Amino acid sequence: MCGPADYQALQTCIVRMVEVSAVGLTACALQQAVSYFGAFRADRLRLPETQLTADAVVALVEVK
Amino acid sequence: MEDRMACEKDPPMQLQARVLGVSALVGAVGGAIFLFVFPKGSITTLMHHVLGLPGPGAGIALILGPVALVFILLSSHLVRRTGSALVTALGFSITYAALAAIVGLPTNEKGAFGSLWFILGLATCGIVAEGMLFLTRSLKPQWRWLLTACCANLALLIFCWTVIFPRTKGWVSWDAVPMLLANALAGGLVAGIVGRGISTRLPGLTGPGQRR
Repeated sequence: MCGPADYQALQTCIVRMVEVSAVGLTACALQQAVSYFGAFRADRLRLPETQLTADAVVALVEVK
Repeated sequence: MEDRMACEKDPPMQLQARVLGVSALVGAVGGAIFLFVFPKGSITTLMHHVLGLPGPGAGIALILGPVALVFILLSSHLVRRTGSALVTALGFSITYAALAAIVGLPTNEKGAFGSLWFILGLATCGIVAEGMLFLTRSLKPQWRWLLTACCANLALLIFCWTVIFPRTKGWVSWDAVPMLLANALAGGLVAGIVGRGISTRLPGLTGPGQRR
């Protein structure tokens, strides 16, 4: 065996590992949420453009 | 676009400011996390008293090496330039040593954590990772990462056996060598898989560059 056992240090290590994992998972979830809402907003902003384009096409057809 | 073109024109060995900055930052974060998560005594207790592994070197093979290699591979993926692995390894070890000295935290004496030898050991690990990433550049990414992590972890373990432990604990016994080598390979495999798993979710920061 190499050195004395320190179970208090091991317990601290496990608790801190859980804390770091929780922070990492939360950051990952936040990043996913931000990218999801970003894509959602982009879709909503694109909608009026689509309608405008369709209206423009109808107007063009009528002109012709 | 201009930035991307500029990256492709650069000579391969040139360490740009961005490479240095991002790699050192990733290494520094890794060193700080390692210092926070593994207080003195925890690795020794886990390796020798809970898992019953022989020593010295089990903690290097299964904890220090794999943790450092995850950050080294992650930085290498983010920056995609030659030199990033070495800079990350140096950032990791120097941050660990500096924080431990500033905060006054006790560190593992047997592995000389936070000493000049510790920094040199991780630098060796970074150089081997750098060399392996270059030599295996034609392989598929997953094989590259696994081979790199295994070889770099073995290099770190052998450095500790030959340079650090003779000064602190004594030479490793021949009976323990096969088991510890197997541990180093297993640790390297896990580091390669975890590093690859995290990196596939992250985009590179500097375009295609030298390492694709």
